[in-house]
Amino acid sequence: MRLSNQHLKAFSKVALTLSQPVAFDAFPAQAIKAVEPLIDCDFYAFDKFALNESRTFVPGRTVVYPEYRGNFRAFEEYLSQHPCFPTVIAAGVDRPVKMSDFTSLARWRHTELYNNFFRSENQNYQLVFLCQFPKFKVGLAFNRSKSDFSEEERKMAELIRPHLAQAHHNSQIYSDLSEALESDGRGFLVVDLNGKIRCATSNAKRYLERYAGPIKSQMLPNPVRDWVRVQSDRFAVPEFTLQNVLRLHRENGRLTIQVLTVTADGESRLSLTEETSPLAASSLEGLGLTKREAEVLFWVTQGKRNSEIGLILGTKERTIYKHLERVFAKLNVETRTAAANIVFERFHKSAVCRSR
Amino acid sequence: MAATARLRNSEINTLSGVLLELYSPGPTSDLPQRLFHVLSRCFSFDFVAYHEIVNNHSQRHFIWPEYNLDLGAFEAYLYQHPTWNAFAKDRAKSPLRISDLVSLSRWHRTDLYNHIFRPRSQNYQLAFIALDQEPQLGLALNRSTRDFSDEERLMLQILHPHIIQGYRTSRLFSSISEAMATKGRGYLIADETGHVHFATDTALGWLREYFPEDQVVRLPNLLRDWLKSRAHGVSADRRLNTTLTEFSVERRGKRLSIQCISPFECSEYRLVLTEDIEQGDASRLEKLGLTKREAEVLLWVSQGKRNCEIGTILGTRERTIYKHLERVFAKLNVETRTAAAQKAFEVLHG
Repeated sequence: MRLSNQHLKAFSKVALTLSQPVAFDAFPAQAIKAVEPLIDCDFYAFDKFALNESRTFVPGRTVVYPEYRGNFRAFEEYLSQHPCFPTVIAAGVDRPVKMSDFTSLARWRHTELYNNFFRSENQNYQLVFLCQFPKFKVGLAFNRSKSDFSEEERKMAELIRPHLAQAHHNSQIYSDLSEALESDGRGFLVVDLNGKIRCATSNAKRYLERYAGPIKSQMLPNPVRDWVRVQSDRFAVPEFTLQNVLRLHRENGRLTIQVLTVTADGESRLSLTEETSPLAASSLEGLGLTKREAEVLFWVTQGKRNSEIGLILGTKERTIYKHLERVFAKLNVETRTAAANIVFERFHKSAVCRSR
Repeated sequence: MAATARLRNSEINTLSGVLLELYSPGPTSDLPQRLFHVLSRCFSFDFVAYHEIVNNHSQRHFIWPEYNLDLGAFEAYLYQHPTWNAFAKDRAKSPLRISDLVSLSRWHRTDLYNHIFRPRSQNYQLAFIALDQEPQLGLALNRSTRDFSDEERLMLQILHPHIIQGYRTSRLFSSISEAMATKGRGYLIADETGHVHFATDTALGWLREYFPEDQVVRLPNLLRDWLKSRAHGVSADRRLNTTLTEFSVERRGKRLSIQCISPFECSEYRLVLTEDIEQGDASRLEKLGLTKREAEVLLWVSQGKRNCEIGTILGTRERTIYKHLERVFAKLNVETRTAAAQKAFEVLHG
């Protein structure tokens, strides 16, 4: 059997969709979206099996499209009755198999698995493959009520199997990288010369939408786009330093955008930091302080002396001293720097330390 | 023409294999090399030229194997190039052979042929560049004998969008890796045998630096032992400062922490590497223009210690600490120790 050019083009399209890295959580949906034009069926299922403590493979993650109103617990309970189970799960075969390879329709309909799970949508036929790894399996199942799957469809499934495995792996790397990048709350963005977004971590997207407006057709929202363009032009000038930042303000927060680097072909890499600043004195009451004590501690974190705090709050230095004594006792510290440190540690991630 | 061309199943399998190669998350710098390998699996040719234009800015040209190209002459006679004209002027949307446009004898009469292609009698070419795509990636396959077939044309047509996508994907991974490097982090994936499948440049650099006695493409032995022992729930070697979740190694006053983020039952090790700066690395504070001693004093100030305590820790008198701090305040342009501590905090955690 030889594949037609139409099949070839469909396969090429699947590979192209799968090659676009997505977050690990979004991978099942992406995989199903990718194979949809390739094999027509009623339900697509993304399946992942993981090794449990007793060293057997159990369903780890199942995503079905369109939504399936079946009893998934029954699916897990009777899974071993699945005609393909001995082959793809137990024996670890990775080529695509059909249910009809192993059983007749009549026998399939006698199983509890069919009656408790597949029957509600009348799913008589299935084509399934799992990519086999030492400690997990990941794959796709195609389900139809009317006609069984053809050998051509099996061949197509065989063709996309390694691509699914690789895309799954890439999506893991992509997610790990973005997570490591964002662990301190920073966002990261890559834009091209025209302000089109090539890559945005989830923090970056959230910050942009919060501070600069919606992202339409992958373009940077306008005030940011213009600024980035100016920066990337200036970047070519030798004495240009990267100290320049763009600050966008909002009710009780501030977004700082900084150009990390601009590549020779005009791609800018930006870092986005949100500060919910200035740290409101009221939020320090969460440390068990009264309103006044919180105010005093707030000014201590800003590096003010007692005499200065007295001026700011309109009381005598001696009163500030008394307030601080109680603050120290409550925070169980002995010095003002130690008290300020507690605030830094508690609120650092979102605020304070960068307010100049 | 191309409508009648069909690929054999073996060719489709080759295509599938090269797509996997193209989409492995390697860095952009490796792309031309990977691409040449991909093309040599799909086609037979004497020379292949790769041409990259991104945002009308930078350009990369590669010819493989090496070809002494007179770039000046090539550019001067480019207007005679049949396929280039078809792509640039007529906006042709699919790959073309020179023979699709002119006869061999006419091609032999052009200055372009005589100056550039004749020395190696490159009679046939199959080329493609999509000028409406971003990036613009051009490929030209050259052969001296035997023209390119319709099947080869079809193959290039199918491959081309993947080459662009492969460029974008590797570009994306490069960008993220570099951004991580600016934050002092690296990342790598290795399998149970210690073979490294993917790593950011920073991560590889650190492995070389902190484990100089081990080879690079594999995980260092100490690290592998730790990863294995994790699975058995025991904290490994007593000589090492390790816990179940973190491995750390010190060298020349710096410290590399390695965290394994894959679950125990996973067959791969996914590692996040951080060059540690939070363990009170006083040398980082020297960046503020402080001497080594001043940096140490400031570090302890930022930990909330009193002058007398710092004196005890550093084994000097309180009065000396006071003098050091005066200079620190002046250098940092602050007047209080809390303000100084805040500056230190910014350097250490910012």
